[in-house]
Amino acid sequence: MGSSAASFDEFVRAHAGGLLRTACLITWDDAEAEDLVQECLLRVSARWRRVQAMERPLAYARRILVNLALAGRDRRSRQRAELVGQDLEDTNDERVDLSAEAPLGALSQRSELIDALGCLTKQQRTVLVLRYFEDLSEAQVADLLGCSTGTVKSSASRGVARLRGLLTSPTSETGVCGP
Amino acid sequence: MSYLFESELRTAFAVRLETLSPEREARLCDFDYRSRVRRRRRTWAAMGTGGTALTGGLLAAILLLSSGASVAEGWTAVPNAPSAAAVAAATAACNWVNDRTGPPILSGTPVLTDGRGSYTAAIYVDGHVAHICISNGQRRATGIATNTRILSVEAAPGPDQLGNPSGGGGSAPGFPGSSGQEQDVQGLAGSDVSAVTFKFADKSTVEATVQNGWYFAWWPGDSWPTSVRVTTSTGTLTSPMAVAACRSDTTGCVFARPKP
Repeated sequence: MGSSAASFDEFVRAHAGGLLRTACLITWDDAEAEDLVQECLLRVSARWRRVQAMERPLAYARRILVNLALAGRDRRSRQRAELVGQDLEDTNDERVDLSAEAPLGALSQRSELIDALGCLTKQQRTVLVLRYFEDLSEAQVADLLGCSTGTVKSSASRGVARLRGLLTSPTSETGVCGP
Repeated sequence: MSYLFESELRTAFAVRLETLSPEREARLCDFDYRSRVRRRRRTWAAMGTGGTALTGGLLAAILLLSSGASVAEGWTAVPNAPSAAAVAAATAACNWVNDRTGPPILSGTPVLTDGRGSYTAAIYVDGHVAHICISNGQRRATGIATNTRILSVEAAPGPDQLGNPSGGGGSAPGFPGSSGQEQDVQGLAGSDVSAVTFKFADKSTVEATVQNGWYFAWWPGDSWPTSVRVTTSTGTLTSPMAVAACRSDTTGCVFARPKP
């Protein structure tokens, strides 16, 4: 029991910061991120004996964290519609050419990009964070979110499209999220 | 995704994280997760013939370690009628937590409301299920004191009896005391029951709210009452609480009932 407790403490010390940063980027709210990680670690703690036997305990914790983050009451319906309700066929709608070098507008204005990221839905940010902050593959993101890789692609695509729209919209200059 | 954009995105994430206070990570590392794990709910059979024997030493230890439902800041042993705003705030806080942890969202009109200092509790009944919400109205994990629990609503007890008792405890940082623990008990009350008071080993008492055929009480800490006093139109009766069985997570146990 003692070693189990010690190993959990070690897990917290090693990964609380990383989970917090991921949560912060998903929620875009530092306080909410802290709450989410605390709740996440409480749940991991309650199942620690089983979790520590897993090949990748961090992946388990990250899954709990993302599920908690996406479980917001106000956004639940919309998120499900975006993530679960879409198939690969849906991704042909308003596709964004991710491979193109099309300019995103004034990317030198990094603060605008940061503001624009804050305007994305939590769902859209989650996919971008997992792909480009956590460096997970599309397959890994799909597995974590419980959806298809096509849905991950389309969610990322929509996120990027939204960013483009925000960066080129006059409203972004005022710091107000556009439509 | 263009390499240019991908790179800018990574940089933007990094810049955003520069504003994240290191104190938050420190707090997360310092948090005692094991003591915050909620204990399982305990539910007992309504009536029985006798209590399960308790290992005397264990009971003594429990009662000695927990000094009864002693006075705690922000909490009162005698309940009051909370305002509608307080009930709404507590319910909203419980729903805020429930939304993250899974219990159903509370709605409708509560059958019982209980105010104790800065804490408000409410019981919502949905068919044969009752949801108990105790909260200080906070929605922040660092200050929250919310515990929503669920029990089955069974047959009503006799007019002078308490029936279908359920109780248990949990912990959250916002409950009174350093441990953040609370214990609560609730159930159906007979139509002639006008008051229910729980007594503890240290002679302290906690008065329950009796309302719409329900009784409910909660107190900080992890102590458990030794007896319950039930007041009806014919007088007052005191019965022992089956502390041992009620503190276990095994089979049901016998709860106090007014003796005829």
